[in-house]
Amino acid sequence: MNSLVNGKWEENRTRFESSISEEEFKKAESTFVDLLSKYSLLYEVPFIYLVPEENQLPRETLKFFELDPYWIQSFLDGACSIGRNTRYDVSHDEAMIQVAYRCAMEHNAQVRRELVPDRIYEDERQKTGSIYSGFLLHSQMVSDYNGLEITGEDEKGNELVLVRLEHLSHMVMLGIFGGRLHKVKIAQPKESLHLGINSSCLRDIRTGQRRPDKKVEIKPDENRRIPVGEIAKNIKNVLAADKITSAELALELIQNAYTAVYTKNTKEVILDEVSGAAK
Amino acid sequence: MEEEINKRVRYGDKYCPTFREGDYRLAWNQQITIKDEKKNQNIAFDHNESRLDFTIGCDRFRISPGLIHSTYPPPFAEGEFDTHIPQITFMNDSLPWERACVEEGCPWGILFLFDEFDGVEMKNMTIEDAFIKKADCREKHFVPDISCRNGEKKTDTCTVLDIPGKLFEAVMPKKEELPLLAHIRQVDVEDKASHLYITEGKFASVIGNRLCRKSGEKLLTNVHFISLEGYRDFFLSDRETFKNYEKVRVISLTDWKFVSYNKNDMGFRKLSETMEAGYFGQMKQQELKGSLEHRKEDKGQEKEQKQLLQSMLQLGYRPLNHETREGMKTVSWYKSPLLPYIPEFHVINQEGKKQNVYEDYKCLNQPDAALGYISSLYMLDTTYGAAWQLGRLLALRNQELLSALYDIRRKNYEKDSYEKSMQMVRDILQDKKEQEAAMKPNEIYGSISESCLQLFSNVAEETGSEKDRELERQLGRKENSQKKHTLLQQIKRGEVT
Repeated sequence: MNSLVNGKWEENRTRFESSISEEEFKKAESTFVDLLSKYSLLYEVPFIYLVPEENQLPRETLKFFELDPYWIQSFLDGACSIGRNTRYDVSHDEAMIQVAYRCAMEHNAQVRRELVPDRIYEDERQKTGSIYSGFLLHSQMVSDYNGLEITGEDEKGNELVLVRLEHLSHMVMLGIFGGRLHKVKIAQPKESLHLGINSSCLRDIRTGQRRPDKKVEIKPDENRRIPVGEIAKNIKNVLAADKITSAELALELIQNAYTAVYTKNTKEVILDEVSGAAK
Repeated sequence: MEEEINKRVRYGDKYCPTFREGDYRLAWNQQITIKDEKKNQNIAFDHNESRLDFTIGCDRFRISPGLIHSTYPPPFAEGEFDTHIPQITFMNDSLPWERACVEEGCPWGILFLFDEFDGVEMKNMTIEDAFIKKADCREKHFVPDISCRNGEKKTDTCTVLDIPGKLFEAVMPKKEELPLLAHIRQVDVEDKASHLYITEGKFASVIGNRLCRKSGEKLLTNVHFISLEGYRDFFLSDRETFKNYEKVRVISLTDWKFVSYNKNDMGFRKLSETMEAGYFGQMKQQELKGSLEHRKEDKGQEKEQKQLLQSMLQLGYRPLNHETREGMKTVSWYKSPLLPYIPEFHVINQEGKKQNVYEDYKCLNQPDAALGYISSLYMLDTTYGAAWQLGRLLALRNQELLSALYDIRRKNYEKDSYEKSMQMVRDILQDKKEQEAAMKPNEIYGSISESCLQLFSNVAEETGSEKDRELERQLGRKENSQKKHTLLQQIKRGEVT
């Protein structure tokens, strides 16, 4: 008896499976896919569901993780369960959820890009597979250095697509990449790199490269005031430049940035030369 | 002028907005002239002048925290900062040049650094008390002439600094130095968190011109971003006279504190070196204290249970309070979607084939259906039930999602019911052909009405593609024959037309 009844629903499901096509679904239900993509990247998920116990994420730690696809699927199923009242609805949803899940996962990489819809990218679409992984960062660094630049690599050294990078609180940051994350590089934000008075040597104004032979001594006065005008004049003379504006002054006095590189069991801090080739 | 040092940082010296701050009036009028050819004269209609008054300006007494990208040294950072120039970075690339308090092209605010030895007083007052009544000021106290403008109230509070005149004169930059204290940086935002990713990547920085004291003791140092409003004369002419003032009052737009301390360094480098990396949710051996620790005397079931508990903790499971549907209070396991191990994507199914786990998902009717039971611990695993329930709750408040979901179901059900009826017709047609083959023509046509036949043949034409015929051939004749038979009977009896 049971097999007879189930057989009927199986039949319904098969019919639905053949009638819902992925291509069509993606086009026709773009809002729906959009919303599910966001859910699949854990948008709106309360923090307690991500970190059930505080000691899982102590201060000054960087924790790697793999995203559980089965969790995401249950989560999306829950979201699609509203209005699922009859067995007929279930047979429809069972066919739909497969398509919706695949579409949502494929659309994932677009979620970040759609934050700025009018920005132009060189590559049309970023492809991500079904594997997602990432990191949680709980550190003073998140609040002190706003705008950390984060890149991820897999074991082969390929750069991974960043699908979500967000501050969850002022000290906690969540990053999700498409692929299997092996190495995370955290660079100091370049827009807020500080200037200093003990630069070893000047940089070429045109190319931005170090000129070990060109130096300017900077001496603050007894009130620790820096004679900015004088420094600009000295730099102008030493480099024989036309003029020194605030832009060139910043270029000359900027201090180098650090990049921290982490894997699950190693860490390394590299000093980056900020300057490079220029026009 | 812009300087590019590499693809990632571009420097600019200033960005002055096209519109200066001030009160503006937009006025327009319209005149229509019609030429009367008969009388050879012009008739003019004048439309009255219309006006729109508006003010362009920015907040003169404070800077919204949302406009501040970051400060250097970071707030309350401890370290050796005596060779580092303090700096504030703004999200808005034109902010330092939005007003021309001294001169066009000069920033309207600068950074002023001081510590407890400088004798600077900070006060929170209303605009009226600070700049109009000046009740707390003595004779030799310079207060700039500031009054309220459109949209500002006398009772609004502001922060002011009273700086000793000598110090002010000694540490303020010269007029020609002012433009050097602010610049623009443009960077690539591709690798930044979403709140910066959405910006254009142009930021304005203002640097200080005073360093902090080198200190072996922890010394709290204040940095204020001060407004230069009311100090045009100071920068353009008689700088010397400020020596004679005991105190000078300036508006503090925003401020932060840091600690100058030679023996400690909490800079980026130190922070990254102390950072601990590892898998999320894994427990270290030393954290498994107390009853979870392995003991020699543990034997049999107890040992097994402990091993299981330890491995569950290693997998990221955590025991949490759980209130069941019946209201019972218990403790169950939950695991976050962030796993400390690589999940299995393929399983071997009953037929011995490799199968993707996610292609065989069965929908649930309620979260309890996803509860797992860990028999050796007599405990429940709520992980996927919790995920399901959370999804449901979030969707409930997301109207957009719900209406989209409803639409999808409606569309697919319509399509399905059409498909189903077509299938039925196809079945009947199939049946008809079968009977045709078995019976004489008169027997069939005699009992089915003409109009019904017409309908069927229309449908047959419509769906009579090669594929359909193939389908008809393949259709299981035995299982469908009963259904078809009943329908045919009904048609014959005239119940269905």
